[in-house]
Amino acid sequence: MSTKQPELSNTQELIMSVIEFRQLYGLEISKSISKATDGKRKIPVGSLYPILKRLEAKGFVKSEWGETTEAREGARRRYYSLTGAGSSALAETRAIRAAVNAYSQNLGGI
Amino acid sequence: MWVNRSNDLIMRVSWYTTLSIIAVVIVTSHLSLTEKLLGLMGVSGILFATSDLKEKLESLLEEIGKWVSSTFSTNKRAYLSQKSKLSSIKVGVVALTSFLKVKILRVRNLFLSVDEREEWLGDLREAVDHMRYVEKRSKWYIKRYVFVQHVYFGWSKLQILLFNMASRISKS
Repeated sequence: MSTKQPELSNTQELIMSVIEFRQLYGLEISKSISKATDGKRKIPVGSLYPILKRLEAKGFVKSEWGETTEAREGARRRYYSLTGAGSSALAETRAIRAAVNAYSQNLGGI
Repeated sequence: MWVNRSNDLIMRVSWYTTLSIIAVVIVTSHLSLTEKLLGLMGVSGILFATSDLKEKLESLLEEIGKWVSSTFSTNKRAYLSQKSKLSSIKVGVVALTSFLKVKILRVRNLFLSVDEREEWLGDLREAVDHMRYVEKRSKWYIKRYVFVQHVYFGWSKLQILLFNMASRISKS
């Protein structure tokens, strides 16, 4: 396990979880999170893109241009997917959370 | 207060201006636009010089100056205590905030790269298109639901009629 902290916020973790196994574009990421949480968690598009940019700058996420549709009036979709570093950072964050949960449950048992 | 005075003054100025324009248009119908404008300026100047507008404007400016100085000095609390002023301040703050938000969005849009703009605008257009589609679909669903309900209602009524008829036939 690396000593460097992954430093993923809740929102970053959510976004990375959504794109963990498939490539999604911005609007799809926002919709997926809203759908998965029954609308309890919504990430506005205005906040989504800066987070994706930050994750891309950190090397956790990579993006590539996709196709365009009639509705987009010529604008292409940009698909995001997780990199190897992103996957390990996500796994590390989940492991830390799980460890903290397990620790607190054990404390509750004492 | 200076508000009433200013209203009176504004009324007078607007009347003078309207009359001047009408007079100039009638009298100088044969002149060019530049000549008409020059004439209008001359008439307005004469009216301004001969009337007591100058003094009134000066007094109005004085009143405004007093109001501004009192608002931003120790008398500020007294002015702010008035409900109408408070509400107007609130409205002003809300208007200013929304104005700044729009400006910030525009400024932010300016600093987006071509790629970012393509991505953002594309997603936005797609979202709007999807909303329109959902709206149309929901209208269609409502129509279909109403039609189906009518059919069910008609069918159940027909069944009752048939049962009634059958029971009457069996009795007879």
